[in-house]
Amino acid sequence: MIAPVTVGLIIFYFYPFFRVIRDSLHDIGSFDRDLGFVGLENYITMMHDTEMWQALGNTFKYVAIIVPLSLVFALLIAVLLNAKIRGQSFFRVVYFLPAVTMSVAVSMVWRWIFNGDFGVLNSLMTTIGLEPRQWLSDKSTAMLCISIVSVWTNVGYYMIILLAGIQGISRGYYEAAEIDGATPFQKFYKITLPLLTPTIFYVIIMLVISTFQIFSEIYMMVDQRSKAMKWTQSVVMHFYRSAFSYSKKGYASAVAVLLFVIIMALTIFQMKMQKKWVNYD
Amino acid sequence: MKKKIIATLLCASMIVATLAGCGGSAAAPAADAPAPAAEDTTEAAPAADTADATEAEAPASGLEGEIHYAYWHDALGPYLEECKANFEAANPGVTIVLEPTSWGEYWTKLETAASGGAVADVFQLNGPNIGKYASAGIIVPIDDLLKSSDIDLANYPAALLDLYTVDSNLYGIAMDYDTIGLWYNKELFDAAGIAYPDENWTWDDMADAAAKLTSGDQYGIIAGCADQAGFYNTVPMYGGYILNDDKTKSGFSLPETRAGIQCWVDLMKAGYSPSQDSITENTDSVLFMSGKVAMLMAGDWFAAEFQSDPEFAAKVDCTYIPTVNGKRVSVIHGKANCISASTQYPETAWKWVEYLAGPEANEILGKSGAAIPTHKDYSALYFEQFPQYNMAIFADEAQNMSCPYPTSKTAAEWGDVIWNELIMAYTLETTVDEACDNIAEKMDALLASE
Repeated sequence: MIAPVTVGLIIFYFYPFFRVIRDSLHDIGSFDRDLGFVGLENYITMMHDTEMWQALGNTFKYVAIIVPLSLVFALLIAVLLNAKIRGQSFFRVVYFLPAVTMSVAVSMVWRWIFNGDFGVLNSLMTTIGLEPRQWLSDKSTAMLCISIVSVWTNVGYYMIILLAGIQGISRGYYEAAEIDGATPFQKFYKITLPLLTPTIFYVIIMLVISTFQIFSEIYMMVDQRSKAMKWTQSVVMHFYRSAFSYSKKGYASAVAVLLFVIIMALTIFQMKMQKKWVNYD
Repeated sequence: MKKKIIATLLCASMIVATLAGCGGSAAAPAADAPAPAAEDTTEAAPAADTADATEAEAPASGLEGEIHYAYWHDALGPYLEECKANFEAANPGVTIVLEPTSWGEYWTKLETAASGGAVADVFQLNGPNIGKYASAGIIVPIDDLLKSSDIDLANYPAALLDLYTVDSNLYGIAMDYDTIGLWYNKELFDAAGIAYPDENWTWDDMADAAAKLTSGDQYGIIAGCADQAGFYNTVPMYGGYILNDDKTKSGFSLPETRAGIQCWVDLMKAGYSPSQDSITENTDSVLFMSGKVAMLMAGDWFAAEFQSDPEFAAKVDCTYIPTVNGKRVSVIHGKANCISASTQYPETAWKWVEYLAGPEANEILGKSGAAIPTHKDYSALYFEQFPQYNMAIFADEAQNMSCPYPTSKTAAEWGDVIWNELIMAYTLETTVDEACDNIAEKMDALLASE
């Protein structure tokens, strides 16, 4: 009965997982030629690779921007859509649409919005008398633009999860609070938020994991030959370029292993920390 | 109690997600995981021995097999469709499968396919990549095959035969070639009251004109970071070189080489060109075709692209690239058809390559106007497709003032090094000297590893 799932897991997850660990200890040249066991050499190269450190720094910045923004907006919209408003299902569909649209397609559209010469954003800017910018090449804005797109696609998905969490909270608490004369804000802070912490915890963990792996938005929006690549590339983008543009698959595997270790450490840390704030009853 | 169960479930899904998340990124490098499967299916299909069997009993021109042909340039589509139809009609046992891929994805896809042993039977290669594929044994030399063939190599440009010769073996015959010219927008020149560029123009004349043609949101020239259409031409004109003749040392520490790059960056610095960021985001041809830029140094390949917009096509023309110190050099490049070492139908693959190099395919290519055919008897056909342009300059440059395209076994790698460093100079983030210092160091190390 479980064979289909297990076979899939073994072929697509477990085998590649161990293979990557093995490959990270080998020197693998173009066309996947294994040039032999090199021990930790790939890891040592990585420690001295300024591009890797830059990519790691960029990735932490993405997490710092995208995770809180996605969570706040998803929560805000979930609370609003929980209220009895006209066209409730319509709005739920509208907010959920970006989540079911391919992020590659989404990024393509945003790339044109942000285009420095023919983009919608710049023509709006000039109409209201502001200076146009090269949004996706400028060091100070490129990362922000990518983050906005990522948040926009995240919000719909996590909104649905949070909405489900809110609806799981018993009406009894709210009725009791209303009898005591609680304001909507008090109801949110004293009832919704604490009782939603397990869902919020889940959302944060998922957001951190997915944001650490941010790739398609960068790949689609920043040209590989743009100078902005340096300032915007994430660890996964660096991994991709090492493996497929520069054919250094052994080194790239080491990058993937490092990313795995970081994500695992952060997730374990969060699991430990949950005792301090997550409320299970 | 119910909450506990939910919590446990959430945690369980998180653990799975962690694994899946990391596994996802980890899965990518093990490209050979799906490869064995792919190999199995191709083997399960008409396998090698069936091919042998039919070969024995097949009629005279009894070639057989399915030949996959990979290429990147979209404009070649109609030409290849016609060649495919003709070749299949002459060889009923053969099916040609055309596999176009966009330029941005082509090299990644090709290398991944080659690593897994599932690469197309015949594919196009270019100058920067030939050394890499030849020295790894991914493609086969064609010297022996040529001995029993009607192809006379004297009909093809020598520079391109050199380009595809690695360790004194020829790996492919270039199917097309291109040289670089100066394209200009006549409308903008007329409006500014400046005479059109001609064969007497020097680099300084061009820079002066660029200055006069720059005003408001209009620019004089596109001076973006470009190798084949840019500094690969100016560097030899200034007396420098990219790579020395025995391919052991880069020329980036020479002041002459740097001068050939500085001349572009100066145009950029003076504001006569759209910014490098704008060029990267939109590509040079899109900016030129927007009608806001007066000049673009580029290959003949744009003639076909310009014609897709007839209104714009009527506004432009081309001439020789300007001279520096009385010297004019255009780099010459062309793509070649190479045969995969892992093809199951080497004979059919060769016949297809031979056909593409032959008179019939060259004639079709010339008439299609997609690229200049390499066979000297048919190049003129291409130029006849664009009577409104001064296209003869591209042939003249190829014959009389071309320099070979610089390449070596690690060209794909040092090509990236050059680009990543120079992009910072063209965006004025750093100086040309600083960028060239870095290039010289990294490129020499790569050359030493060959």
